[in-house]
Amino acid sequence: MELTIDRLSKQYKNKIAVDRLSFKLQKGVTGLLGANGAGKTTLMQMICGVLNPSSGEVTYDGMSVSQEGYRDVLGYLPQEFGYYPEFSGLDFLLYFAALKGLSRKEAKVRCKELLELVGLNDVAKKKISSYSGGMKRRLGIAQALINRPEVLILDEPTAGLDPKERVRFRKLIEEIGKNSIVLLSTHIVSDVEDIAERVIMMRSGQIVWQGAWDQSRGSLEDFYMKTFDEEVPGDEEL
Amino acid sequence: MSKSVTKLLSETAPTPDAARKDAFLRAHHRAFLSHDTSTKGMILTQLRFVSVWVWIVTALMMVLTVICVSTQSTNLRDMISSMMPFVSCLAVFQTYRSKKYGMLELEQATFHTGRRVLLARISGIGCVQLLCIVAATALLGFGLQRDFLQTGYALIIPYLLTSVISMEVEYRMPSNGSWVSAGVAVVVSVFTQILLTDAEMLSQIPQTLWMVTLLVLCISLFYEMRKLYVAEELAWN
Repeated sequence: MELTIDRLSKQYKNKIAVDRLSFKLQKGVTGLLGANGAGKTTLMQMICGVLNPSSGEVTYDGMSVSQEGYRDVLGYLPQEFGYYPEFSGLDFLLYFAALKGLSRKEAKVRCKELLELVGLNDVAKKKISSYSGGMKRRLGIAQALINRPEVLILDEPTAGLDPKERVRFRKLIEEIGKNSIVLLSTHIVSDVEDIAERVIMMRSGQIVWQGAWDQSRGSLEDFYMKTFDEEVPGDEEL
Repeated sequence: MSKSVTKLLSETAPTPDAARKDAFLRAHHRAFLSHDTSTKGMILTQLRFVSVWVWIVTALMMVLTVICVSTQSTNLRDMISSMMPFVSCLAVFQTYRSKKYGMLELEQATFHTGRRVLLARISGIGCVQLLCIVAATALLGFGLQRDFLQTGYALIIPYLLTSVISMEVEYRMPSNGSWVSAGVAVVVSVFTQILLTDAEMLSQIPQTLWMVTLLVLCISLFYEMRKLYVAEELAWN
């Protein structure tokens, strides 16, 4: 189980959003840290096949992003997403279950499980427009988990969640990380400090530091602040 | 198995531990998954989730057709022709709604590619509405003893004209194209009504012109659909 990013770049007219990134991810949780505009979202969109890279390649166990085998094991939660106005929470999940290839019977069972997992089973049949921001976010997380993904890409997943929900979410991701590759982007360091085994820090489209992280290194937040003041050599060569 | 037996079994057997169940399914479920990758399956999925208003308006068109035939009302026939731009407009709204409602990114990261989803949606709605137009043409032609071709043109040309212009508008104005498209539907509808009520002008239009117009609209629609299909945001998808 290995996700390989090889010299991935995305260039717009006047700006290089992602600049020749190369790294490999194995099973476990990897935190992707960086300020707004660092290129985290662009990187994640390319990994998920949503955005066309200018150059470079993304492969999972040798499969490219456009292959069905990769798309079958992918789960993605974007930073911002919408919903069709007539959809209830259950309709939303059933729709994505159909797009992810589940049969109607499988979809009903799986959606019910996920709604219970994210604490939305009481409001499943209510329109999404009546949900709070946190509830919508939880629905998005549920959508990403429909197909039991082996590669889970989460872009700012805890935005809008209250502290209790964030703790619950961290436990969920930690559990998923035992069996899957999880890439979690955030600019809130505490979201990843306790659960990420590996951290990648980005600035201006480039990786400024990447390596394994554990508590013995001290506070991730202090290290993050220090890294963005001076460039610190990482555990691995960039 | 009877419901009472199923209920008894579910109450007797313990619920599997969620973590163990998940681990088991992760290890084995892909061997049992049979993705329906057929085009038919994809189209039916999209049709299941199309907004109900598309079907309401399409059904209304068919109901009015039946009433028109039973009452032999030419006014109602003209009204049905004037309604076609709105039927088309709703179909175009549905085609572009992924982007409008911020669902495009989510749809692009699923098993079925974004292009496939889009194509299935257009095909599904288009096929259903086209069948309804053909059925309406046949009913009106037989029922009102009118020329089938003329009746067909009166229904399909406003429909296609609105589709082509609306798709171009939505392509160029993704944020507020819907209002402009609605305006286009109103204009085409009014124009259709004026043309149909002027019997003298209508009789002067040669058959060839109708056919050429239809051909040009079909080619334009194909061009618009191709433009949508090869859009940059779907290029990787």
